[in-house]
Amino acid sequence: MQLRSDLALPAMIKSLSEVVLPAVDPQNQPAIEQLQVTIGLLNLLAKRLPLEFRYDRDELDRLLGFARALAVIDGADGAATQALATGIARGSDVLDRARATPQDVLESIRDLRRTAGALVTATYTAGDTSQRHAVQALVLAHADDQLLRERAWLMSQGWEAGPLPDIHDLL
Amino acid sequence: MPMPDKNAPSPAWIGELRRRFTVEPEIDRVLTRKLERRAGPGYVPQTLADLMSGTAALIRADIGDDFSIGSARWLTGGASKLQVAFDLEWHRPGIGRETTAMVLRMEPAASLVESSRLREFEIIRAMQGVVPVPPVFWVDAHAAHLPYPAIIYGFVDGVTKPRDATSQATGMATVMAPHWRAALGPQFVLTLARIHNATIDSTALSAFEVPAPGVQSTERALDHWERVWEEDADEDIPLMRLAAAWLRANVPHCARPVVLHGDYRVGNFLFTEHDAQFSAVLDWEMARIGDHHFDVAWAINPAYGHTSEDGRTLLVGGFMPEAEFLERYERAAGLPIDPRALYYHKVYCGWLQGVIAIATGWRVARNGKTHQDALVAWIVGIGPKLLAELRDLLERGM
Repeated sequence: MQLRSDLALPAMIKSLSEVVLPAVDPQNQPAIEQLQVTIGLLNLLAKRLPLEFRYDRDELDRLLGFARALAVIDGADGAATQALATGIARGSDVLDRARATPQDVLESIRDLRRTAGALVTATYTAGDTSQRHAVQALVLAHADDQLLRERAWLMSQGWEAGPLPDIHDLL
Repeated sequence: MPMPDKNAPSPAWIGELRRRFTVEPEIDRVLTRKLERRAGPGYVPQTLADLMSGTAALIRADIGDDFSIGSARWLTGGASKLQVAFDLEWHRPGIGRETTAMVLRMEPAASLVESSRLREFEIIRAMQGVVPVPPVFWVDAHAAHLPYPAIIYGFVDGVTKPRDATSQATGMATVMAPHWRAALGPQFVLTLARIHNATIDSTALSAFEVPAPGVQSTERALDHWERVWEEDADEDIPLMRLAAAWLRANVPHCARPVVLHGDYRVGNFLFTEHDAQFSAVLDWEMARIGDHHFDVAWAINPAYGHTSEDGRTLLVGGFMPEAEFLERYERAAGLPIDPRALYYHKVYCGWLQGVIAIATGWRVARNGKTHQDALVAWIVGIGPKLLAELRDLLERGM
């Protein structure tokens, strides 16, 4: 998927800053102020969005340390202690499963796209007819699934003539 | 194999691409220039005053100081080039003193379609008297006077869509009301037929290569756009690799290369509403000489049409069903439609749309190279729909 926040946000910031802001009526100070704040918030999002997952994982890690230290004191009633223990167990499990970052996932996707694409090209260069047909069938089947998700993701842009499944139901 | 840094291409990588893909010399020049400048600054916003100053310098270099420029204003439309309308008061050769409405058409730092202003200038000039086109006056092919390469042509009255039509900001998905179809549809076919029957004057079209009959024109075009894919694509797409490999393996024979508009569709011609007559065919930047099936396949692409009131029949350009369009075209152009070649070029058009929207759209918006990055980024979003149509074409076969 190419239309991601790291593409769209800087493009929006540049258009608002370089095209829209200079064109706003200089007498309309409330509009200029709102636009400047909007650009500022978009800048903040553009810088911090790539770090959001790391930020949350880091917080979870440190909260677990804090909670484990609290549990050692053991001065509360049984229900509160039990709830904290349950929270620690759940949090530890989530942290264990969250070792890979979104960037790791994205890099793996890109690597597999690249190596799979190269194999398709190589098969068409060196493979026989049956191998070409086999590769084509697999590529088309994979594209069918993947493109349905990408189109559903972008549904609100208005490119599609007909309805598509909700992206929530596809992921 | 190490991945090249496409945002800061090395001379070695640029050289490798130039060796790997055989493209027309002028295409090679603009693509190489694009790569050499990629790591440089993004698009620098221009004021109307600055652009008119550069415009005056370009005109002055040709006719001296006896002119004045006024009424400069931005024009909208298109997702690729900047356009400014202005009035030129001058002594027009063959006519005398007059005020001529003009248009400056200039590239940004990099475009959704990286193309040659020289080629655009030459092809529009060559089409004078063949189909309605604006008069062209000056070209600044190497940005000697303006910030970026540009052409100046005459302003032509007309609209790209009726006022009662709906469409997206990109000009795509224009819905033609029934009363416009009968008036504009036949002209849509006839104009394409006339372009394809234009005489090819290789002297006037010095920036174009005239390919030999056979597979050369399509192979050159494949080299051109596959090179663009390599230069611009961010993430790889196996479906695009499959389509490119299929296109390489199935190039049809072209008996008689013709002048191609290259982007012939609703949105790229003007017509006057009061008499429903074509007034100008615009946006010739993708023009080349090649197989007529390409323009036909591009014109009938579903992305540029819509369904009729029955909800099922796709209307080419919003005008008429595909079978009627093809029958009218064959009769008007005298060029046969070979179903296998047409299918091939439908696949080719789908793949090419993917290259432009997904690869180049992403790269130029990512590097802040245009005057409307938000619009270009928006266009990247049509990629999955285009790819789905390409996928279905490949699966369906002939």
